[in-house]
Amino acid sequence: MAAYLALSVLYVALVGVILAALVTGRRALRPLAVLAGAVAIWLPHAMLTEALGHVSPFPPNGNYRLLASKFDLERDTVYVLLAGYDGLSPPRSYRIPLSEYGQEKLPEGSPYDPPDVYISRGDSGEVEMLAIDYEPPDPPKGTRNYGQIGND
Amino acid sequence: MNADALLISSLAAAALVLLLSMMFVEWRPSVVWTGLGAAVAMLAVGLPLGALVDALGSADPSPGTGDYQLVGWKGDEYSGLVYLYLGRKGVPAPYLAAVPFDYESALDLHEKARLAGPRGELQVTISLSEAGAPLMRATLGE
Repeated sequence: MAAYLALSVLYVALVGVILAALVTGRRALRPLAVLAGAVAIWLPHAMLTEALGHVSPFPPNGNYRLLASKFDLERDTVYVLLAGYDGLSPPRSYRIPLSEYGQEKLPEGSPYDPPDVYISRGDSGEVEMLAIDYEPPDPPKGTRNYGQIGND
Repeated sequence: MNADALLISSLAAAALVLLLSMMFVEWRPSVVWTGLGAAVAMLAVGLPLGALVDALGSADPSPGTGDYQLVGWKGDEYSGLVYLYLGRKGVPAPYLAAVPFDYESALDLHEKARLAGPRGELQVTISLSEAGAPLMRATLGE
């Protein structure tokens, strides 16, 4: 079990102890609840710090640049490093179950010419990732460019 | 992420302190009191768990030192970071790390990646500078 998962379970259990002491109103539970609180107060930051770097199992819908991918055929999973088109948001790492479209249709990632993928989540919760040929739309004509100096 | 983590942690800590102080107020347990306690407890649990879901998948700015297999990378001069997608021995899932961008190591990584080609193996060694910042050095796999 990953450390952040263990810390999360511990945190929920400790908050449960405090809530039990509050709901039951038993004085005997108060010292235990205070101890639980003294430990629990440090856990959220530790959980969040530990979670950094690990893959997310919740890929968002939309079009992304595929920077890198790694297949795990034993677990029918592909790990992907995705970046948005704006070039501003940092890349993020996701775990996606291999669908029937699988390995042969997924292009290889390259930092120089990253292929595009479309991720969607079906009604039953299954995630699908397709290679696409996507070009971001041009800005509408007549709109002011960034950096242009206006008269108004 | 660090600022967000601190803010969420502080809010969760405040909710916990409120929950603990509610316990010492000399009121009889009632439906309203129990409901209020449950709401504060949900806040104390929900805030960090929601932030945890958001933190998953983000790059770790303080990766552990050691040798890794490079799965992918992206240099971002504007944010001053190089994102490294690292494979670890015995762990199927790669790890996303962020190390400070500097031209010398970024150009070295660029050149090694070019030499390795799309199917070549590249290793990355992460160490710490004297100031404690992570440093990376790429080597071609055998």
